[in-house]
Amino acid sequence: LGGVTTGYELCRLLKTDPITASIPILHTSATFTESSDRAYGLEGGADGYLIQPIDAHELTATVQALLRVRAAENAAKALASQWQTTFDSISDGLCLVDPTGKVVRFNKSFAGLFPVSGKPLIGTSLEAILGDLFMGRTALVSQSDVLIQSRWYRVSSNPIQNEDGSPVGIAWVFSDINSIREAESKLQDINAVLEQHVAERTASLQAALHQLEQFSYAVSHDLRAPLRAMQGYSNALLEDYAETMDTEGLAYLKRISDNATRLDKMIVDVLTFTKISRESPILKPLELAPLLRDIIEHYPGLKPPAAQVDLDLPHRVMANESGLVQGLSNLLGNAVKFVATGVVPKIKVWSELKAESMVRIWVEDNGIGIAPQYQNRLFGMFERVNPSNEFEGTGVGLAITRKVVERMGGTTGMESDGNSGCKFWIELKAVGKSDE
Amino acid sequence: MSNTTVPKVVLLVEDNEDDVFLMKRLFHKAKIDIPLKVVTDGQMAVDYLSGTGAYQDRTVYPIPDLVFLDLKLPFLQGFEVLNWIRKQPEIKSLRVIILSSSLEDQDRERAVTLGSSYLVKPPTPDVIAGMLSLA
Repeated sequence: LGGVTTGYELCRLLKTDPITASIPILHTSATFTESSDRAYGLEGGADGYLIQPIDAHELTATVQALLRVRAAENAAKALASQWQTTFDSISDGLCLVDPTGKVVRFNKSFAGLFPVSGKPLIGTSLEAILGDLFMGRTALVSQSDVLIQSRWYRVSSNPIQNEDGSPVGIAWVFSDINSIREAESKLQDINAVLEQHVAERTASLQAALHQLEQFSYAVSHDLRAPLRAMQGYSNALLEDYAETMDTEGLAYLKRISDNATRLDKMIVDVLTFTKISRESPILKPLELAPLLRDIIEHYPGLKPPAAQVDLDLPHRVMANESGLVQGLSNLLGNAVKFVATGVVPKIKVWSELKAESMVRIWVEDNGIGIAPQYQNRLFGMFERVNPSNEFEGTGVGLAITRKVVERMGGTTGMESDGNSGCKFWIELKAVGKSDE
Repeated sequence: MSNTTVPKVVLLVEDNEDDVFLMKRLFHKAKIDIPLKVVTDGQMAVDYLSGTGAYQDRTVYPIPDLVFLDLKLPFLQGFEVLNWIRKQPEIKSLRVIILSSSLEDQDRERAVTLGSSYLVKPPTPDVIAGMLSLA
């Protein structure tokens, strides 16, 4: 056996070298037959022991048994390595502890989180490794976020139990949630900036609204005062000096007075428009038929012989009464106003249920109509599509109607072929079950 | 507080000289011969009503039993004058009629809350005669 004096020594050498350690070794000897000698050989790392003379069958069987054991060992090693690789490839830190709190197994990520120099992790108490992070955790499921090496981790401890319910240990999971925390923090920052923006916009809107209110007040008081004086003095002139003026002078004076009156009406209309724009009307269920009858009752121009208005209004709408009266009065006023000379206005007002729980109120007239190319301008401020010397008006009425309907969550529109009258409509929410 | 007898003296608190002229003309045209005293700002109204400063002589400046009060005035505003009137024991029930060009509901409501009537300018002879219990 060369420089090596005994088979035992060779066996020891082979078993200590990692390259040869897994080679099965079978001792054969006729010299040592004592059982203590066999034990000595097996303790030295031998996998089997046969005594010479060797029976051929026994040798074959023994070698096959040794090879089967080796294959099983390899399979077990491969499985263990597979499992450890999988375990280590998990980015969460994982650690299993026994019921006494000692580390049984851990993965690479866990070891990275808690680098303990010198001492092996296995067998160490987890409480000693975690220190303050341990926080008196028991086998109960619990979860919390902690900072480890300046990154955020979500820690959960999950009890592992036997089939009979007795505790086997605890699986600790350390999930890296730093990116989530960063995203949350970014989101919070963005929200804060956004809220700041909203606050600033709201403040500037409120300032604008306040300015608008002040402006309206100033218009109401200051701009109308000189107009009132113009009306007052021209009336005084007409009353006190009529006989000393000729008809032309009186006609000029009448023009001044009429224009002052007209400008005052326009200012009042604009004030009404801005007032509507800043109000939020409270809506309630309203019967259309009595509301329309009431409007007609109060306007002589809508009753025979001045005009004929037919109603067919079976529906109810969600609206603010004064707002709806304002909107509809303007439509009815236009319907009787814009008719050819000598024509008695005939108006039909009816309602129909539209899709998505809306009710459309139609106002159809027999007036002069509006050519399609002008129809899109109709609802604007100071828009007049008829010559002002023929038809009186400030050009704000339809703008008021549209605004007041918008404030009640509705829409307005019109149809006309430009010859045979107009069909204006107002669409408002129907009365739903929850509105009653 | 409302007193329907014909007032003996009427005070007009109005800074706009056109409005003052037109009110005087209205009185004249409607043949209202109740003396119409005029002050042109809020502080003057307070001085007149309390009989202080230039208004100590009650034979020249008698206490009115009706006041037409404009809202937008120099120094003290109309509502400040009205508030002040309602706090004076001797004149707290004085008939006050706000005369304003404001169409704002809040002005009208405030006037009514402070026990005053509210007229939108321009005043007409019929309405003024009605207010003075002459109609």
